Amino acid sequence: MNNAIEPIAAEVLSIFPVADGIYELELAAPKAAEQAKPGQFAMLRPGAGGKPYLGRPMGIYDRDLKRGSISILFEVHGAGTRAMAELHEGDKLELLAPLGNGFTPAADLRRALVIGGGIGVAPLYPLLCQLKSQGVETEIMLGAQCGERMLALERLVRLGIPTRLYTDDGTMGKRGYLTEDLPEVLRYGRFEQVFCCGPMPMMRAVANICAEYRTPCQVSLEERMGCGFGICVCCVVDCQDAEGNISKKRVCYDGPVFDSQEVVWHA
Amino acid sequence: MPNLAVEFAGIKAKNPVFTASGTCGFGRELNEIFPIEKLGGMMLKGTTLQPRLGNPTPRVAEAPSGVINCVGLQNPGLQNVLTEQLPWVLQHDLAILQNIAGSEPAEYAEMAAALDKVPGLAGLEVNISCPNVKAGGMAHGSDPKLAAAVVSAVRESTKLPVVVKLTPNVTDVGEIARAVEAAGADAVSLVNTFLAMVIDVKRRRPLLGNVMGGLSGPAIRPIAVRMVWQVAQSVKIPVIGMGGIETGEDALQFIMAGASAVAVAAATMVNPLAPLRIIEEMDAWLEKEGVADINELIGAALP
Ligand SMILES: Cc1cc2nc3c(=O)[nH]c(=O)nc-3n(C[C@H](O)[C@H](O)[C@H](O)COP(=O)(O)OP(=O)(O)OC[C@H]3O[C@@H](n4cnc5c(N)ncnc54)[C@H](O)[C@@H]3O)c2cc1C
Ligand SMILES: Cc1cc2nc3c(=O)[nH]c(=O)nc-3n(C[C@H](O)[C@H](O)[C@H](O)COP(=O)(O)O)c2cc1C
Ligand code: FES
Repeated sequence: MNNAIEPIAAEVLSIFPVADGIYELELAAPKAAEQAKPGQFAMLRPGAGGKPYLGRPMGIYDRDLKRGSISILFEVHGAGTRAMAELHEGDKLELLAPLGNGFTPAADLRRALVIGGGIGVAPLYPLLCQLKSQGVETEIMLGAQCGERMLALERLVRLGIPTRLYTDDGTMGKRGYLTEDLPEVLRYGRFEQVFCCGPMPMMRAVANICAEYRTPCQVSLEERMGCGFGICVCCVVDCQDAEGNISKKRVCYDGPVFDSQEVVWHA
Repeated sequence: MPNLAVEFAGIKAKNPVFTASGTCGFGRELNEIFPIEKLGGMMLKGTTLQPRLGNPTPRVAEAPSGVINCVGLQNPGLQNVLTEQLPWVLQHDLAILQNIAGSEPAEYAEMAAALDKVPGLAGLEVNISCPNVKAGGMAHGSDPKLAAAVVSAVRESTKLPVVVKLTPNVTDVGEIARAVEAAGADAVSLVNTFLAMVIDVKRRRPLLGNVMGGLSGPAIRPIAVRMVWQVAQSVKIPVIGMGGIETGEDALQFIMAGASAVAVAAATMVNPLAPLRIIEEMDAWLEKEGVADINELIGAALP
């Protein structure tokens, strides 16, 4: 599957804040840029001297084949992402990419709905580019805490895909959760497939609504990772098959994108 | 070119570097990154008689220079290992040890008997040291009598080389090593992980799904070197050393402390090519120091 993933010391080509505590980071990684498929991710080890010790999983947000680079959109949480925010142009960090299985739009897909929450828009942008080049009629629903944290807007505007915006505080688009409008959108939208990435509670709600409206939905899940390439079995999520047999699948290797029906959604 | 090949307990390996149990699965994922034949060998994921789903998440936490895990022996069970995993990995030219765990001696014996018939398997690694399972695991490994009971049961069920994996969570690791040697072990491997925990201050709760986990990585290396050094002087059977190995020189520390081979877990997690780099660095070190054969260095630092 991931035939040529190879750990490299990737150089930081650029890093800049796009909102309070949120950064865009561009890394020189020509091979990864060439191979990356929408929805795949990277493991990043930002610190010098093995601090932090473990890699941090980050969705691949964009790539530039001419510059031989991939970009990451990340939010500062703890020590790992803080170390990432302190990187400068020219610094190097250990990178393992591209990892995991991305989104899989069917070859004959005609209408798709792409739903993003917060930083979850990052791995959706490459998918939107692919859907556009495949000629899939696509609509977007995007949610964020506030207007300032509505990410990737410039890129989305350039794609020219119809977009509905929602914020918790009403500072951009409609006030409230996008899941309040989702039943209506699914009822009248004739969508054949939904793609979703965002906070777990949002993905759970989206998965439930999609099940109710019998619309297939692919979700990109998050779990704490050790390795990122399938060997440690740390990043598991409960899954079930058609007969209801429970298994624990690895988000990094069997995912991160899963069919929402396959996932056991715990409250 | 210096000789890196080693032989211990009847197990031949083209070099002394193994991937440790739990961070190489059954070989397939690593083989997508590099040909696993470059390794001296692999200790495959700890396997139980029945499939196990393992512990709830989160199963992994960051530690200073290391990692804490509480996977809890998630594995597909012995039948699957016999029919799906071993036939694939045994096509490759490297020493394969199957790591086994059970809740009582009879379970270990049943697994050992079934694995005895697998052609090409280099040996068993008997895990009496997992800190992440309630029944068995570390409980067997911290009491010399229980440890000996497990090892005798395995010994009677197989002709395969039996390597017994020891826990560091004991007062006198030499005492346990002597007990398993007397019970018929062909070699011992150490260390497994150190019982540890992390509190998620924001949630005011333990961070890991199983509350406690096992600490490994560079953080534990000096303690592991000390324990290998002690065990090497307590028993006559060969020792396999592990605990925080990241470089060729780290590996040489264990070898000079008395280990005939080494294994790498945490470093493989953070960089899948780490085991290969360790082999290259050892080779370069021997070349530079004019040592013709790695075997000359085994126990070189012992009194
Ligand atoms: C497949 C995948 C893609 C991701 N993509 C992005 C992205 O594009 N942008 C972004 O900002 N964030 C993304 N995340 C979440 C991101 O990995 C975490 O926010 C980050 O690891 C937190 O690290 P920290 O050191 O700052 O926080 P700490 O809490 O100090 O992290 C400690 C440990 O927890 C792990 N961890 C903590 N939170 C998470 C989490 N939510 N998911 C996985 N591991 C976690 C870290 O890897 C580390 O091992 C993604 C997660 C996954 C699984
Ligand atoms: C994620 C993970 C899973 C592990 N699973 C097993 C296991 O199934 N059986 C076992 O005997 N040891 C297991 N171990 C312990 C390692 O094999 C090794 O003994 C220990 O991690 C020390 O080596 P290190 O410092 O190189 O990680 C595991 C370790 C880690 C990090
Ligand atoms: S993080 Fe190691 S298996 Fe997924």
